[in-house]
Amino acid sequence: MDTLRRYAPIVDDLDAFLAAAAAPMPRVVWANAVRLGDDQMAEILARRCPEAEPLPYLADTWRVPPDSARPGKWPEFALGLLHTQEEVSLWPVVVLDPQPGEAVLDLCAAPGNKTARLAVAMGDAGAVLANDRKWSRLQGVQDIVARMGLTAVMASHADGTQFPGQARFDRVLVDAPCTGEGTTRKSRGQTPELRNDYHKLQTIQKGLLRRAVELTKPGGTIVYSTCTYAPEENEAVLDGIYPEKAAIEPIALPPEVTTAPGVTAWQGQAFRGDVANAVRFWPHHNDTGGFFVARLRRL
Amino acid sequence: MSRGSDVYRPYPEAEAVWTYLEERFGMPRATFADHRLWQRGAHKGVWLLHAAAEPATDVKVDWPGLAVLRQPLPRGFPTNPFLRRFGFAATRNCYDVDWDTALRLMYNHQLEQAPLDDRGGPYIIRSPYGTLGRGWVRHGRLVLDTPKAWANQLLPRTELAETE
Repeated sequence: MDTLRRYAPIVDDLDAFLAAAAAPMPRVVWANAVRLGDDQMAEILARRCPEAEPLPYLADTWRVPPDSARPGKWPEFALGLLHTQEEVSLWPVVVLDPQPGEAVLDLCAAPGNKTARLAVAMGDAGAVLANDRKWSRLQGVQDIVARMGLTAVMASHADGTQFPGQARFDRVLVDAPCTGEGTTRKSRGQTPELRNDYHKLQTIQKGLLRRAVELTKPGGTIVYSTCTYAPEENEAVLDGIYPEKAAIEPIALPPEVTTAPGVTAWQGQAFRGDVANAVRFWPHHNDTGGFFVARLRRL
Repeated sequence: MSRGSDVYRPYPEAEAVWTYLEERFGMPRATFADHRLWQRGAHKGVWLLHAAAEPATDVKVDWPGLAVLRQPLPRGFPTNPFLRRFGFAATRNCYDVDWDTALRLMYNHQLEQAPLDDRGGPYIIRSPYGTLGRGWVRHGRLVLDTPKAWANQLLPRTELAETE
């Protein structure tokens, strides 16, 4: 965890950050609104986890304490009536704001949680293309999509940096492969091994984001997200996009959610000014994992 | 999933599938008005995809939407994921159970005396929270097609009454 001390210059309270990054994390469950009404979900939670609390700022979503029975083992989960996910992982889909009937690309879809959330947010009406470079990882995506009974999702396996075709998507989500520093709270008491190959991953991330911008229709939306704190994998990647191709837009989140802006300089490198419109989720702010989300508008 | 096949094309015998679902389960065709069927080569599975989507041709599509049939009719029968999504629309050959019974069936227990006539073909088993999946009447018992792993994976087992 000492690796995380490198973020002292950009985090507001280093001790609180390090303590939160090592603590167990609550999870959330969300209703498969395509198949389940609010009342039914409330009944299920009253039986399974009475201490679950609805999140006022995320529809159909409840926070489950870390010491409760794992929602992934509930019979209702097996039937596809609900899904479990880390709270902070829900924000990229909220920020992307997909609408029914649109064409949406999830460029790095595996393991498929955000893909499912995308399709449910669209009312399972539209076209969600779930892509992943590894064919074997698409099996997990299919498991989730089939379990939840979603008909708007199809899957492809292609290298996202060379995804074929022209600008044909209304929205593109790039939840890029990263060092995963923001997921330390999932390690259930064990010290996670953190990678530090930031620059190697940055090359891939830049390639993915550049291709995502090219695949988006003019006026369309691209969301770039990672579960890491490293500016090398976040703001530096955004900095690699030509300003005339895409603008980084401000993100309006509910007032209860505390975030920090993207950093405009790191270790001597200055980034384009609008990276400050991106948001950083630090674990000690909202009792979640760590995340980075940016929304770009294709010009 | 299978590798190395052709691209997905509109299923030429979609009408037969809609007719089967209507005759066997009483599912109105209007239920699927916003969907189309796709198949990748003869004798392969049939998939249900929202009408706004169309499998891309410039990238290899592994699967489009939700599997309806693993094999074409008349050998194939509806998949569990399909029935869980659309079982609510069935009016025939379906059986509604309470939640306790639903849990027993999910844990691979059987209903000793099937409340349905054994006339062959799958049945739809439904609970108050949605469809459980595909059921069969075998030797007078009602059996739910469930993954064998469910019996060990699902919690909490304490909800189940030990006597039946």
